[in-house]
Amino acid sequence: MSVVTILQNVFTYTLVHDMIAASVPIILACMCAVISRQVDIINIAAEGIIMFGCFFGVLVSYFTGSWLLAVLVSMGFGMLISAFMGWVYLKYDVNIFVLGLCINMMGSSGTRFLLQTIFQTSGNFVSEKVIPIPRINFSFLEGNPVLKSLFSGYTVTEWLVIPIVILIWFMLYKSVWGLRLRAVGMSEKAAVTAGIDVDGKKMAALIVSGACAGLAGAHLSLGYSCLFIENMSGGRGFMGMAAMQFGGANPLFAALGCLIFGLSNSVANRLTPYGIPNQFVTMIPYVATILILAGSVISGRIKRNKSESAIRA
Amino acid sequence: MEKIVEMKNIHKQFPYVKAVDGGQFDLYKGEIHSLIGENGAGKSTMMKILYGMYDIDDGEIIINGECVTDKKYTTRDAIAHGIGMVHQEFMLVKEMTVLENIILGSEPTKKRSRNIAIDFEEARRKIQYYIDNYHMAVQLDKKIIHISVGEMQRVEIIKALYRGADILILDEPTAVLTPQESDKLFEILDSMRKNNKTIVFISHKLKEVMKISDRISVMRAGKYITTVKQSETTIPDLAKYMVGREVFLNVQRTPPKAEEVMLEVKDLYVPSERELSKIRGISFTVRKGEVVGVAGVDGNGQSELGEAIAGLRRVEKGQVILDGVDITNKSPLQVRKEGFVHIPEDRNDRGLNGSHTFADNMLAAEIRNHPYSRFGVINQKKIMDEASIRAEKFDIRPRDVSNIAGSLSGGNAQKIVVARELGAPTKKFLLAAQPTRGIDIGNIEGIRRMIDDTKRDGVAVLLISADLDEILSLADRIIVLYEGQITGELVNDDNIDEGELGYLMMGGGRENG
Repeated sequence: MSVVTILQNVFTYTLVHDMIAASVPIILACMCAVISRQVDIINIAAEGIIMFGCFFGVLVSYFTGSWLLAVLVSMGFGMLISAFMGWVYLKYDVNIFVLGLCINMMGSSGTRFLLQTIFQTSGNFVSEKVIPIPRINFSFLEGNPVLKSLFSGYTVTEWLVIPIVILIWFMLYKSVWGLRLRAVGMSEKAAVTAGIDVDGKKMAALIVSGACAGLAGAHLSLGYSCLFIENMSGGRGFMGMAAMQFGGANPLFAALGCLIFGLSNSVANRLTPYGIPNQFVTMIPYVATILILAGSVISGRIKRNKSESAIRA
Repeated sequence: MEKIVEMKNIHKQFPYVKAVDGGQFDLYKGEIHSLIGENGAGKSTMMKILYGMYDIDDGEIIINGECVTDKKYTTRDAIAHGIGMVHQEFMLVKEMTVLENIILGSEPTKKRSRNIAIDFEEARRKIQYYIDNYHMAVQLDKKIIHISVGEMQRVEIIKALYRGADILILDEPTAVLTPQESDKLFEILDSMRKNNKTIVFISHKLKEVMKISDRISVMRAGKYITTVKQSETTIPDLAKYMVGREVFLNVQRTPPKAEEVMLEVKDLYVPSERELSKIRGISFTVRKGEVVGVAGVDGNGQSELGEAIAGLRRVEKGQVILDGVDITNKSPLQVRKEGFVHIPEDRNDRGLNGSHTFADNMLAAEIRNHPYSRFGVINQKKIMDEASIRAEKFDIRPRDVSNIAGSLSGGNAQKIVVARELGAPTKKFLLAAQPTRGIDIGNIEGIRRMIDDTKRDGVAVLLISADLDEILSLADRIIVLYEGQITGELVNDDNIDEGELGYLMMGGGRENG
């Protein structure tokens, strides 16, 4: 098969749907990184919280049959984990990076442990009793395959991402809460003298970021798929962080960065059947991460050099 | 007049020092009350206590008849009691706009949004009132990093007024201003007094204090000394209260010898994060046995100039030549090898390693050399011996050089830096950046004398200082930096005109506007 045919098969209109589906978990993870970054905390725990979110999503859905309850429990659990992190970090001054690392290791091994204890299985867990997040289909688009692929068949959580990103942007840049939150992140001293409760704001930011990561997890196991697999977070937490960096902690630009990751993910998936060595294909999202980060660093440096220059205007 | 604040028998202990030891202070409505004292006398601590930033160990604070120290008293309470404070170090978020900075903490909100969204229009309207009423020009939509120091100060004042301050505490507000900007500030303060606002003016500049105050309180070494009416005192009296003895800060300057050029800066361009601090094409020379002073308001490129010469900041264009060797864009180590020594601007950041001993700090620049190390192995004894000699010579207290540098007061810490740099055996050129900033008067005198001695030994000295008195007492020639360009060069003799210096510091005399 020629390269052109392969490309024709890969880059079709259905790629858009795939890209969005692949991006949504990353975007939610990215919002976790964005909000923590705004209070000057590098929160690497998204990966671990996602794993717990995945597991508790499946668990609650399996036992109660309610996807909504499952999503809420996952978010709640994410908030609980990050509240714990915040408590240890703010009260006992434990390094936040080490804490994040612990959560990530626990996320991977803790869920494996729970999988074996509760479901007596390892590797993955699939069951018809797990109720997924429902998909919204528009029957009036049935006749048009292109429009149907573009707009139909998304899960509730996939649609929700749009208002979530906009809401976070609004809260950060247009609300009193956000102004104070950003002030804490940019200059703690100035925030203190303005009478702002710095630790309270950091805690609030961490809790909201935990909710985002928890939602990302529930969506991953109940919306993106309908099962639990060990280590199914697959680096999405870190891709979210990379996208956060790319977007300068602005939720709108960061979400755009996530779309690029989503695109590279789905292109990789589509290339797999064409005999390209699997190692190369699975490499694509990571290479994309490196390229995007390098690109944003280089363009940032060029911009900074230009604005700092004493010769150029 | 009605008494609105009274602080009685205040005590405050910090880990190493008793900062306030029986302090007292009071305020009558509508007065300007100055609080004076040397660095470390406890005046800032006293006012930070009034602003709720520090707890007190003992004492009583009464505001508008209410004893606020009965329960926990915080900054939030102080603001609620109408107290505002402009700190010496500005408390502004650099990456935010002037508008955002002013409203931060008490933002007007849109009612329709259930007070979630900020009402920026309402904020502008409110702030405009203060801008018009007190003639304080500020640019609301500029980020803090892009405005001048004088404007930052006005932003701080507006911020305090905007939060409903009736009592405004200004901590050394003129330290960063030119004489002209200071006059402007005094006009603002005067119009605030006419509006029945009460002002606390912290300073050690007695001329200014006499000019603006109604009453003056003096502190020394944490203790309350006295309170006098402006009309019933004089500058010499105040100086005596302040220091407890008579002091002469003006070091007797050694006359310069006309010798060959040691440092030459040619058409230098240096980048900066701040627009006004970019060095744009400056040239000058420093001769052997001469002190050239760089005067100017902080933030006009002085730091950038110093860092560029020291190899700490990239030079975009132009040349720095030290004794015939081109040191442009050389690493700090290479620059030092050419006989360059440097008292850096920020003692804690670049000058000292707080967790190392006096000895290690004093020999840090020479540790690669024999006899202090050989084949990479350090000879601790040689270091201790030399350090002890320098501790004696530069009068570092305590003398025991195995102490940790981080425990020292500002003055002695700076003397360790001086001992490292001026104690170096081979030196041709000294860059002294803000050498006496934040240290006590006794040590200021000592360090200035050491700089003058170095010059007498034939070293060329570039002195960068925001303290005009320091420049006038040490420099033989003065160049004035304004927005990264040289606005003038003056010879510092008996005829020097301080008014002209101030005019140059404000950008006067600059070609092409």
